[in-house]
Amino acid sequence: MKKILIIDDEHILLDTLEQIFKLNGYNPITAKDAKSAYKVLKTTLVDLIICDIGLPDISGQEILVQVKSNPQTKDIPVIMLSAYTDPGERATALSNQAAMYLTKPISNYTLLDIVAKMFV
Amino acid sequence: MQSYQHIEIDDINLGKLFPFYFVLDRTMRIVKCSKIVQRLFCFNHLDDINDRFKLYAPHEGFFKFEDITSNLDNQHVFGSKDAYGIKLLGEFCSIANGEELLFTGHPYLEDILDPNANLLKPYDLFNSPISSKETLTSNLKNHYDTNELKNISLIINDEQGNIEWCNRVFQQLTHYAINEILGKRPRQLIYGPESNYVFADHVDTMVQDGKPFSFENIGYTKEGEKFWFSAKVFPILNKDGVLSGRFSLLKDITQDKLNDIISSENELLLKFTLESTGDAIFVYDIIRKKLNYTSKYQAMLGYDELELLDEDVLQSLVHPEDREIFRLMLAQSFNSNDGFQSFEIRLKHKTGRYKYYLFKGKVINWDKAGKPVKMMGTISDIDKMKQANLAVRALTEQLQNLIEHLNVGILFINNEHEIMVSNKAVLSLFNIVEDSIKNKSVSNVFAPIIDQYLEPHNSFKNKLKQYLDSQKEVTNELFLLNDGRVINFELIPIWIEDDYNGSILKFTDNTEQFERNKAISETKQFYERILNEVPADIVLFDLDGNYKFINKSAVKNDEVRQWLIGKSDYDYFKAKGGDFSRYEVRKVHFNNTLYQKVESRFVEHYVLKDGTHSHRLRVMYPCFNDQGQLDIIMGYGMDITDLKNAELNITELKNYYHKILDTLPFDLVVLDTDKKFKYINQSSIKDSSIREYLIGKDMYDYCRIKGISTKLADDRAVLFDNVLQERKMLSTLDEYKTGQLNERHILRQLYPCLNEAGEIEYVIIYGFDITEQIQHQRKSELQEKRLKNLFSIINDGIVRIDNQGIVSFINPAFERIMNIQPGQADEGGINFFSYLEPIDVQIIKDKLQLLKASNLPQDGMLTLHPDSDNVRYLDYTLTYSQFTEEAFYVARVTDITEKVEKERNMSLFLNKVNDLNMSKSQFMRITSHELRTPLEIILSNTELLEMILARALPKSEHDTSRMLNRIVKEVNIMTEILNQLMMVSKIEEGKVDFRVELVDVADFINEIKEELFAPHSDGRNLVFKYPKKLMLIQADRRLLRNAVVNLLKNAFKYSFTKPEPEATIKDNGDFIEILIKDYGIGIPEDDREKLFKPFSRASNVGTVQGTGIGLMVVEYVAQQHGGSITYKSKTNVGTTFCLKLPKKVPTNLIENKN
Repeated sequence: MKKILIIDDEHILLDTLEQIFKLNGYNPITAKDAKSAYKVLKTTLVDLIICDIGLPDISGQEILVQVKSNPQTKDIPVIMLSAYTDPGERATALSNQAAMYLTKPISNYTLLDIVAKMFV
Repeated sequence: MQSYQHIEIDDINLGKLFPFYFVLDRTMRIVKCSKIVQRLFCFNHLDDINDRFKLYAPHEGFFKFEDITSNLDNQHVFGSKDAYGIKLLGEFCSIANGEELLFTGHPYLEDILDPNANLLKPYDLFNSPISSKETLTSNLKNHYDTNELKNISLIINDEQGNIEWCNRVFQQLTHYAINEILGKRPRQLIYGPESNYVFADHVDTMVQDGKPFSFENIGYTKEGEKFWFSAKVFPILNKDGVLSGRFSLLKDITQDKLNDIISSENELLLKFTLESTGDAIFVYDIIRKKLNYTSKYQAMLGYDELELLDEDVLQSLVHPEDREIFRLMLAQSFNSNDGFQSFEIRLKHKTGRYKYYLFKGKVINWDKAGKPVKMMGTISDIDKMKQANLAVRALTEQLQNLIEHLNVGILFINNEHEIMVSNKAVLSLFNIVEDSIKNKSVSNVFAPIIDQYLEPHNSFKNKLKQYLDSQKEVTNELFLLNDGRVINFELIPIWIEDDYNGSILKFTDNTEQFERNKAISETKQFYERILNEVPADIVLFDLDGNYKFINKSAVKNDEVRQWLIGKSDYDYFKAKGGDFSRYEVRKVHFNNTLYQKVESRFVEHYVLKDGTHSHRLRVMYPCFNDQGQLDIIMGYGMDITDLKNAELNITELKNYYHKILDTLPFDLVVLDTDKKFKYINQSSIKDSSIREYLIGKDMYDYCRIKGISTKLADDRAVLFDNVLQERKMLSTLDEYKTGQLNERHILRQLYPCLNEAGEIEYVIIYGFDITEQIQHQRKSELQEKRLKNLFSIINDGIVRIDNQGIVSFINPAFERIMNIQPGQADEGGINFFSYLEPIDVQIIKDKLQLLKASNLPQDGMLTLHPDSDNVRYLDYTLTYSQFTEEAFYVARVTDITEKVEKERNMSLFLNKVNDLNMSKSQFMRITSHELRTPLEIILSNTELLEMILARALPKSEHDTSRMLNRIVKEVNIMTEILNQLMMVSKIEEGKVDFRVELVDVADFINEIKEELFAPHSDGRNLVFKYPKKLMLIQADRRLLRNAVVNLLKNAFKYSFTKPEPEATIKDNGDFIEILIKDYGIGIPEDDREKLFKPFSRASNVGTVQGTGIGLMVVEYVAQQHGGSITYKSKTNVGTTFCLKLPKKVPTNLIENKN
């Protein structure tokens, strides 16, 4: 079962996403901020990260940079899922090797579709 | 001979049996022929054979049916009349009861393989002549491939090059069976890894051009065994020159090649060996007349490696005189037993010069008959050596002839210093017998003889030793012999290349010349000494103007004097620094003397360093020789300063100064202390008789003469007394009326002149006419008056100040503005600067300086009472004015307080509005962002619910999903609204990117139609009509899409029934119009003004959903592209929006955005 780390400070959304991925045969792991995300990444080898940008402690963009600069995690694909529609945010994320930049709200079906394609 | 009268000709079978057959009827027309014959000769049936064939028959002239019939025993050779036609050799037989003739034959290649055809030359392809007596019957089956052509493969191909027929040789060569061969191309059969396919392609090209082509290539048998072959391919052209096939001859040359390789390997080895000797190597194939050589050979003859030299060229390179020898030598070497020859020969170098080469050659191959086949040898460049030898020989002969008759004594010594040659002169000079010195050492035998004529300390022997050791040239060494003769000795070493080859010793009896020179020089010295003592400058020029002699008086410095000899006056002035004015004068006089042969005098004037003047008289004097010819020009110079000064006598001086005084442009009168005129200049009184009369008279006399009042004389007398009394200059202004309107103003200055004792001796009165200045001043005053009047009625304050701010004029407006009491300024003492803030004073002072420097008006603004409630702002302009001789600055001052305050309020207001706008946009942006997360939650949870329900209650899926779909749909609408909001906020903040690209409008709208309106969610379709041509515009795709989609959505939203909304495009030249028409509710008149304002919607929209910002976005997009949005509408009839876009976005719009 593919492990997906979902990082979002909105706990309802976090819970919903967890349910959806569980329901569709994935193993979702949730983190409500960067600190807990790093904790997970230290102990668990995940297959995909879905990351919000507006987080309480550290920006999702910073997490992306950290993940991509760490040799142990640099190969994990990261999908940025944010309410920011600013093209600047998108460009920054993509130049920092984000696999994809998605804006909220997004249909679960679309999201599942994208994630499924990541693992093909 | 034979007649097969019973034979029924079956084409196919006959063709198999005899590939080369044809049948003639009695009219010599071809009734039938094999396919191959038809291919080869391009026959049409019923062609007359006489038209198409040349008959090569033993009995020429018969080519009639009957003739052939009666000569059936003979073989016949037929050849096509075309250039590359193949020939057929064969026999006739009579068939069809003697009504027809059947010819059966085989290809006859003798002519094609003729070595003179120059195509397959190196290989003697054809060496077995056809037996003319063989009969058709005895060798029917194989004579055309085994016997006659045992070595040659013959292939006949169709137009495409596919093999149509081949002989058995080819089958044997390739090991393919005939059925494997037919229909294929040769390259498909025999080409392999090492074959050169370029040839195969080239064959096709050549054949297409109707040309034959020969080549060598590598082929492979069926089993893959490699062989070399040479091939010759001929095109077959029909009567019209059109290609109708080809035929090819192939020869197996494997053995030759192998031989070649072996021999070339041997040659190569030899070549390397010989090459190392530095000579060029050649190999000459005597039979083929082919010359092979190393690149050294070309280099020796001055050619590049790439330039080919063939044997013919070599022949022509041989020097005409050497050609016979060359031919003989070659013939000898071919005939001699060992075949070795070596000879010198001249060849033409590329430079065109003939050079000497040494040929060494040897025949290395003979054929069985003992004839030489191959020759090999070397060529060396011996030109240098040869040339040197020749030159030396020629030189020696010439010299010996020459020196024998010379007056000059000559000795040749070799590098061992032995005397090789001596001439008569040297022997008689020193009274020597030739035999006594011939081949003897010059130092030990000859030198001691000379030394007998010399003082011991002057030993020639010693000197000669030094000279010979140094191996350097010696010139003009003089020896004074004790018999009184003077001998000039020279030594010239002979160098050939870098080798010392001996010397030439030259002895000349210079006694006479020496004596003469001595006498001349003594005489010269004597006279020059005298000339040097003469107290005048004396120089001698030759006729070219060069100095021959300069005496000490002319040029003191010895070095300069020496330097100048042989140089010209021009050089002298050039060396002095290049002022040629004096030189020009001298040159004129020199030329005068030179051409007129007379003396020429002129005076030069110098100003010396101490300021005194000096005058020099110069004379150019022609000197003639005994024959009366001009020989030398003597320059003579003398100081005549004293004389010159004396010339100016006192009378002249007086006249001189009077003249000057008379021409002065002002009046000048001199009075003695008794007020009597001593001198009056012309300017004062024009009439000279009056002037003379007045001398010794006074002013009263003057008044009387002029008939004017003596008041002038009284006034003048008072002034004059004052001058005498005060002993200083005084002046007065006289006014004269010279007519009704004209006045003259004369400024008179009385100037007392003191003598050495300090007493006033006389008084000079100057009179300056200052009428013009006076008039000018009056005009200025008038003008100022007028201006002052003008200033008093204008609203702008005018002030005239000096550079310290002292006011000399103000107008009432200025008093008002500055709050100055009226009339206060007239009392004087007002300073403009004292009313100003210190900072403004500084600025104005700076500006005044600037104004003075540039004479450009200076603008600025002043602030009065800045910290009080009564703050005033003044606008001013400073200009420069010169009403009278004094300079002033004029300032124009305007109270602009109200205007400034208005502007200030306006900008405050604008800032507030901006802030408001910004905060609204930010509000919208933040709101739309913040709303996204809750929407995400609603959406994802709805979908999650849907997923769970779908699994838990598969049967009731229908009911729940409808409700869930509603939620999802609403979320999507809200997202859409958010996106629109986002766009608007960005537009208002000016944050939207603008990137133009070329857009095909029709294509673009079609895409949108396909995506959203075909059909729309309500089931209706967009009707899209557009002209069938490419319409390109520059646009930002994202923005344009937004605008078009908004317009189309509106069209669908606000019309509910048919007819369906329509979109059309119009090309208007520089613009494209996109028209979107609906048949809907229309837009009420009252709503039209605010239609494009944000959040405004028409009053009749009812429950139709909308954000109220769509049209605002459309308008924005139109403006961004430099276009516009307009519409026509009627309530409940419909609306047409017209989006008008330029094809090219104005550049300023693009630049503004980026």
